[in-house]
Amino acid sequence: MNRLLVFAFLFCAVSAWAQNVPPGAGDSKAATGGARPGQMNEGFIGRDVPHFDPGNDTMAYDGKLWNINDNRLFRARFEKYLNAAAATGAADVAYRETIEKIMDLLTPGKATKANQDAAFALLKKASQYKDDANLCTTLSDAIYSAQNTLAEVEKLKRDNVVWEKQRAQAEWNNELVAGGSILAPKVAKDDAFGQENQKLARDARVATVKRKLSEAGQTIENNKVRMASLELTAKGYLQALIMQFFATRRFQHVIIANRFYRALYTDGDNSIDVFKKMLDTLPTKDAGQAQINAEFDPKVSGEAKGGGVIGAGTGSNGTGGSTRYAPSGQSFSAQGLKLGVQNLGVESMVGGAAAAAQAISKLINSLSQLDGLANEAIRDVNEGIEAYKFLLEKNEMKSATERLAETFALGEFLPNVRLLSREDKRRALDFSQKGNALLAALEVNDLTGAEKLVNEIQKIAGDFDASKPLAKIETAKTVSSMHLAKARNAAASGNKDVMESELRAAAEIWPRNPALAEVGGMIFSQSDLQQRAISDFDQLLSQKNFRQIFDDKMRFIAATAMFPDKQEQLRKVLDEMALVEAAIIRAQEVEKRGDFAGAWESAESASRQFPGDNKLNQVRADLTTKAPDFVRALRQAEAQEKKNQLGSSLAWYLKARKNYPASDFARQGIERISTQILPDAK
Amino acid sequence: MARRKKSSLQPIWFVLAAVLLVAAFLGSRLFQAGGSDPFRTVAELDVPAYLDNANSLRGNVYKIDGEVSDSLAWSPASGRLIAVDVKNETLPVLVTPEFSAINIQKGQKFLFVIEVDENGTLKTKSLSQP
Repeated sequence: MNRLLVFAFLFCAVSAWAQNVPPGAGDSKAATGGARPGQMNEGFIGRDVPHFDPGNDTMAYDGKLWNINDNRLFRARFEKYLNAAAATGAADVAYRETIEKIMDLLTPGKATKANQDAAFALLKKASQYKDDANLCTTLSDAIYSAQNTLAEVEKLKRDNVVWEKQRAQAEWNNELVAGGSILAPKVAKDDAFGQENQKLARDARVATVKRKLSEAGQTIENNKVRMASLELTAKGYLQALIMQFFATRRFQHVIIANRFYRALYTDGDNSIDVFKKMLDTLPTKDAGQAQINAEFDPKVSGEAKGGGVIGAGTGSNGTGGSTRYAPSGQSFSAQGLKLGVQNLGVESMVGGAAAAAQAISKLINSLSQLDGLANEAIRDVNEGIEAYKFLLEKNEMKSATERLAETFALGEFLPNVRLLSREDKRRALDFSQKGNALLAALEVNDLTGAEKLVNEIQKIAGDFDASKPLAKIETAKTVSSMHLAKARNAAASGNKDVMESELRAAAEIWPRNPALAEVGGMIFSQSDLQQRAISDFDQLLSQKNFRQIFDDKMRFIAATAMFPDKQEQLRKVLDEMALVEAAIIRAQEVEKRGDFAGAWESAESASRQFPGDNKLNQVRADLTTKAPDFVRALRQAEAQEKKNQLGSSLAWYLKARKNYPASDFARQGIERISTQILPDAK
Repeated sequence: MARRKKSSLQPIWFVLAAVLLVAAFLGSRLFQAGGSDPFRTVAELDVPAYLDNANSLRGNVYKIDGEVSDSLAWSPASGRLIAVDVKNETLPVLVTPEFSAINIQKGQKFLFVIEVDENGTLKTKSLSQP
């Protein structure tokens, strides 16, 4: 139970930080692993009281789960601590010694009046050190105020003694006056006038005595109410301060304040009912984010059993709190408990006082219980530090870091935590940083980085279980690769929508996947190449540069695969180019036989069909030089034919045929010209 | 005894006689040649000029002496188009119907009188076998 309460405090402190994080900032999700306690068990203590689940290091409160080791603000604070040097400076040592001295002076059995005074004096000294955060001053002020209150109460008690005497005297006088004087002249019974005069004289004497009696009684009752009110104020203020120390994990201050409290109030009443009633007046539990300021500015009304309302005080800052107190058979009410909830920034938020106090107060009934919890926390922290050092020796950094985090969360301000050397802490820092980096890497699906971190963590922490992260990493990699494969297939089949969705899915799973950039680049490059190839094809087609199309036919075949109309155009071009190539091959074959005129004629024949083919033209030009007479004869024949010089044209055709009897051009030319000369030739 | 001077022909006479015989033969041949060309007055066709630009020869009449190398076409109405080898060139010659009586065959040699018509065709005006 003690440990539960200690962690309850921890939760409250952490929640106080976390509640300042904007909703949806991601930490809560990270902290809970995205899980929400949809059907949280109410538990035997309900949801109102935080409870810690050691199975998964989560704290449950108000339907929410918080991982105590995975909270951004806690991580930041923890890392700050891990980077800090050990608190071995002169001031640190002096502060610790002062606190220990105070605690020693107030140890039960030694807390004499002199020791209490010495301890009280040391509070001023302790508050001079920055580690104290002026808490000792606050405590000192509270004690001083309580002492003043007690002195005031004592003075009121003494006043009441005097007033009691005065009242007793007044009552005696009243009795005497009411009984009448024996020295008064006798009045006859039938002397009505005389009787009336005697009565008037006695009433006059009794009135004075009654007035004095009433005044004494009223003052006495007022003083009683005021004493009760003062005592309540002082007790409530001190109790609130002690609870605040506890909520802010200032366990040594809790013990010190508690011992001062018991020294001040020796009536044996350790209950914190006053404080609980104060807490009940808090408007919302969100006030737990801020520092509690408890103060009484009472409106007091008292009522004596045998009299009317005998007095009323006034206050200016009451906020609605009320309590009823019934000392010595009298009843009175004290209103005007001021419970300030001040959001004073980090220091007050770190306290998380109100929420913590509300929650813890349900389980704590007395200051002795609180004292025990503080001592238990100190012991637990010391044990945690020892465990950390032992685990360091065993190189079990995961457990060591977790123990240190827990210990730090619980006893951040305790000496053993502050005295841990920076070297020892840095090892935990290294593990913690890598662990946090691993969490971050997994959160953003940086699988490569996560895998590297897992390997590094395994080296520095022998107890680190890499199976979970590695399983997630491998699974994500596999799924990402599958999406990439689908994207590649979709790109190949021209399904752009599927390609994009698969690429997006692969990127979401593993944004820094090296293959993603490679495949994505390849796909987009392919797409770009395809567009460029189509554009080139259109341009070359318009230029009738079939040769270029033929030379890049593989590129254009791939590019036009998705465009049937382009495919048909390409098919025609390639068919023609096949004829050209065949002609070139044929010409070259004929040339090899030494039949240059025949080779030229073959090339010329193809060239007339495909005049724009450079390669064919080049072959023809080369062959022209090897059969110059034949070529010249044909050219002359054609030239003359164009000039309608049929005779000389025919002569040139005949000459060409003479040079190359197998010439088709010559034969055709002769037949053509002959027909022109003799249209009716048979 | 004095031998009787024997009369004999001097070699010079034989030489002279041979020269005369040769001269007589050559003369007769020369005479025969000049006398057998019935178109002595017709100019021969400038074949290269014709091949180069027949237009410049259009309307002119020339003679050509060649051998028939091919028959290219025949029309009863228009005549026969033949190829004639002339001085290493082959020229097309249109033998008009008026010479249809003459058998013109490949390998035969003829002396043609031709006219270059407007489209450069060589039309036979006359022909004879040498």
